[in-house]
Amino acid sequence: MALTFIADGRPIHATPEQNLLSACLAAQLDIPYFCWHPAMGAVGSCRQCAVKVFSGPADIKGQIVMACMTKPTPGLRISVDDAEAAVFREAVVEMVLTNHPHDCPVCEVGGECHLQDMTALTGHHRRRYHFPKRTHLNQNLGPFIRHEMNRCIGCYRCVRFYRDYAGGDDFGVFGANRNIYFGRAEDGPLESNFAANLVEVCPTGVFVDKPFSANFRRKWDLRATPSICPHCAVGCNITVHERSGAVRRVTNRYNETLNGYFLCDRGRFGAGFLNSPARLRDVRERSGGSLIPAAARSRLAAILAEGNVIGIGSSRASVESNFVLRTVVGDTNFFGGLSAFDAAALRTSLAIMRRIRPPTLKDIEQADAFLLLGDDPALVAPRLALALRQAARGSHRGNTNPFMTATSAPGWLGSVARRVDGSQQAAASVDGTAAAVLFAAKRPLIVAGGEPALLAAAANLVLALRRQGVSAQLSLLLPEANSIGLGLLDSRDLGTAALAAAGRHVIVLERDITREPAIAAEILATAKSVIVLDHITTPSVMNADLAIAVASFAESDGIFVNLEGRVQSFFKGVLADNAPPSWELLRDAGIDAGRLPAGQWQTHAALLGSLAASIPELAPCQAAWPIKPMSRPATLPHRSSGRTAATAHLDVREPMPPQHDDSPLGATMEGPSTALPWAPGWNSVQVLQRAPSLSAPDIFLFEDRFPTEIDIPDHSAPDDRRLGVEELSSLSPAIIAYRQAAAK
Amino acid sequence: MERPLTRNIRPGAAPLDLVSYQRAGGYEALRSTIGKIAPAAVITTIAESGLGGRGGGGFSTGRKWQAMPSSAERPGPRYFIINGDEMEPGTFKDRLLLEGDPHQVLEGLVLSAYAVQANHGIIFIRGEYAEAIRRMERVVAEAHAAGLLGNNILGSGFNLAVDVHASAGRYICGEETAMLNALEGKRAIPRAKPPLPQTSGLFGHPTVINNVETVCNIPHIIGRGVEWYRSLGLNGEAGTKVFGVSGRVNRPGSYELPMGTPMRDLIDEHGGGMRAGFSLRALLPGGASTGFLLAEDLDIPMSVSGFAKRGHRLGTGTAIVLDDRTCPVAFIHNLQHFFAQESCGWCAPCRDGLPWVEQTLNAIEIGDGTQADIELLSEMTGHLSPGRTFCALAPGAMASLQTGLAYFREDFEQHIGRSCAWH
Repeated sequence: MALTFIADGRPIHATPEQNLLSACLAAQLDIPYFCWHPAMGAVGSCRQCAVKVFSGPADIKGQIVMACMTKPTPGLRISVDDAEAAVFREAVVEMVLTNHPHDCPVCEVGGECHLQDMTALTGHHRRRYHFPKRTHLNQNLGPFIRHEMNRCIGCYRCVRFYRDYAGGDDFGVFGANRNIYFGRAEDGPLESNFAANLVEVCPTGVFVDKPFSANFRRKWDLRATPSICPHCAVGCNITVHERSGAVRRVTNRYNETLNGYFLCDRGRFGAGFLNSPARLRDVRERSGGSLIPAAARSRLAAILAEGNVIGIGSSRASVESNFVLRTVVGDTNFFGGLSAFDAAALRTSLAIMRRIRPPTLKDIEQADAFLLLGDDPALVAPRLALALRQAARGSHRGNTNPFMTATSAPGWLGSVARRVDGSQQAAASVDGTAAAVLFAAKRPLIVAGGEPALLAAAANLVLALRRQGVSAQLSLLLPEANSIGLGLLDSRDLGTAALAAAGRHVIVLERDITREPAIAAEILATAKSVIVLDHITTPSVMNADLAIAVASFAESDGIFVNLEGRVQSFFKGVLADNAPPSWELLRDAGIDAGRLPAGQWQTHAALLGSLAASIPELAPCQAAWPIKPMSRPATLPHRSSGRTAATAHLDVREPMPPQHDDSPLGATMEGPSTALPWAPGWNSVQVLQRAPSLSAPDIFLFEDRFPTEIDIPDHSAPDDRRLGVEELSSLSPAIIAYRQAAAK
Repeated sequence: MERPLTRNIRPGAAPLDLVSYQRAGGYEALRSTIGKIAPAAVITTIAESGLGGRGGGGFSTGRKWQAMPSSAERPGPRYFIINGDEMEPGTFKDRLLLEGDPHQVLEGLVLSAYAVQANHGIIFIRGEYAEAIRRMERVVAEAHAAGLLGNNILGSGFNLAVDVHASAGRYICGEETAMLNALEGKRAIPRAKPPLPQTSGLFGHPTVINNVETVCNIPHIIGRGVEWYRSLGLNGEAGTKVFGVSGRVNRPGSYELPMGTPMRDLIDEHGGGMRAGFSLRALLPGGASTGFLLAEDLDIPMSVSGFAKRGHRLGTGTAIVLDDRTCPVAFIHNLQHFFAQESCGWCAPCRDGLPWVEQTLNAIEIGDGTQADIELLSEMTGHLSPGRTFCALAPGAMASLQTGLAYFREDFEQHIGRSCAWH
């Protein structure tokens, strides 16, 4: 129910659940704040968002209140501009800065610092405090985060995120008065899988992205491109920051119904593989010979022209690359090529999702009872596990239904299922007790991952609940960024592909078939030749007759379908002259070989049109591709200072804007971008509270239908899903360092 | 003059044990009430008695209890907590009551818990009050053995478990919501109100928190009636209060006097006047969180309303006297040092503002101050005023500074450019 209150004579619309601060920020009013965070709520500790509230029309004196701690009421009269409130806000900034080192020129956050923005906003510019500042020793918090405690202004956001929101218990606040310390009891890597969100949660530079710090550029010297995390099936929205041809860091990109404000550490640091020595950057033969890049196209064309060829797809390659490979080798010669276990689970999952639409992560956070089955979401889909924790925390807000787990996975999962009031729930099996709990809930949720039999049983439980009028939901855990996109093209396993491989050419798309060693050996032994297209040097690459470097997700455009069935596009963020995306290379070779008509798919939109015609179920991909002429996302900030200087040692002329077939002004400062939210005076990630929402449209593949029972398949054995096992992130130096530290 | 609260206390003597306490009339009020008078009637009696909180706030105890939801509205655990975390500088009245007559505290607790139908009582005592903790633990054991605590007290069907909790330290634990966090094993930081503890207190359950001295009044009001209780006070006030005085008076200490007694009587009559060679310059009437009063204010009756009428706070009613041979800047600096150290660190103005105030006062005291520093101090008293900080700690700290800057301006200015003339 909406209401209206008056701020400095201006009507502001709000809901009763909002506080004055969030309502005013949404209405483009500038009120400084530190401790409030939209995902973590208001606690009133920083006292920065002071405004005047007037008790009635006759009240001219008013009373100072904290906007974040005050609910709007209809007709309430407040003043942000009030002189007394403004003086107090400036005084609070001056007080918190008494211990801040003012080291902006050497601070990684300088230029995108909420503390800088808020200080400027209050007008404070002259320091009066002239006594010694309190200082702290920093801790070694592991390979992900560098600690600079002297910069701390005591907003308590870090500890509220780490302990309350993310459920970590190895980080806290120590000491009292101004001698408070946010850190661990002793040096050591932070244990939470979400620790590095502290980098974005902190309003200043206490927690710094360590790999980025070692290879640092200012925000305005980075190209910021909207992208999708390739490291698991959740598909969190990320921003890829590039400079001089290298990806420097990954940050969260807000998506209201998916990842919101937070990423997992695999997502934030996994992209380190892009710069690792394990990248494949050339075209090479098994004999050791290195070919010129153009040879790749002709060799592929020759094989395709011969016709005796099969393709093995990839659940970490884009929908486009898989589709083009499928088209050029012929539909029946294209194999999903997953492990037998994954392929069976994927087939069952798709059969279920076509009838039971998967919930979004936001839906998951609203669940009032949930049952976990099989795989540990904290390992398979970490960001989803964080959403589950929010559902579990909801019990503190009045939910009384318990949360249960029927998984053998230890560790973090246990704390997800634990009620936040501290009472440990005993593990329950899928018996009468569990059923009664799910039946009594308003929004019960079952999360299942692993063997097909388990998935099908979970689906039937959800269907049974729905038949009883309970709006139960089912979230299925899938292993990779584009598992669904691949599965809709083909879901046959690698063993099936091996049967077809004998005596034929095999094109392997962006996957390491040697993860199934026995089957890979058979393929390598019996195939006429094995050609691997990839951007990392896997054992498959080492053993291929021909290995061809192709673009990674950061170097190409494409689409992934996540475990919600959400279709999401990512954009080319590294514009340097890299290897082409697989789908471009295969398209060109296909045209050369006569498998495709000349001039086929010269634009992305044309390719997606063919995809929609060929696989109607993937037709929504067209809507997920936002590019109309002139609307390719901007990737350079308005303050980009280095765009002419960066290459001045080579050529002093201003470089040409990057050229794209589908947009004349692509990848410049022009156009909207979810990767570059900005409002005047708001240069940090906190701008999201102030700038209009740029969230991408939600496009989903699946709808609820009225299904019958789902057949329960046979039992099979699961795969390893731990951090560092996933193919791409396992090559990131930061992830490798983390695993080494964890192994000690 | 009747002194119900301290009647059993003899300086230097051990407190009464259960037998002698009962011989002196102890637990009579409990025996005549529990299971015989409806809890709601007890609350009404306390509300009519005019008893106000003795910890500094002065809020009506009866009304505080009436804000508890009924057991029917809110089934489940209910708590009654006695606040014995007496850390206010210059205040030592609760210590006297805890050490001097622990059974009186316990009887008050059982009656109070019965009134609000709480089945769990907690006595939260300042950790340094080791003797008080020992004595309270002893009387809890005695009373338990005698059936005055535990299940089915005196056959009434009322159950009460009592824990004596020794505070781990920190002044802020005396703030009632910070105390709740401390008891829950969390950092002792205040909670936002609302919700009030009566609706969401310890572990989220209905809870009442009363000061030691407040609770000590309960058996006497129940036992001897509202009329008698109201007649104890002067100037229209009800009951007695343990006042106190420290500083350079002849007989510093605690004195139970009628509510409404003029402050002059406390200093001159009971405190024995100023020591030879010293004269009274000002005093803090109720601990370190109250503002200065001057000699001409001494006729104010010591009561919450009497002080409020003159724009002052009674606080804990234990006065600290500033004499004419002590530097007021150093005096205030000492207080601010305490508050800066005891800030819990939760809200920014208190955490970062108080150390700035403290360091500025120190600079002035040692002769490094400037005129601008005095202006800064004056400004800070505004920034750290009620409503601008999270709890009352920093505004309490500012009370002495604000009044000190008004009353001792010349002393501050004399410090500028030269070191303290008092040393």
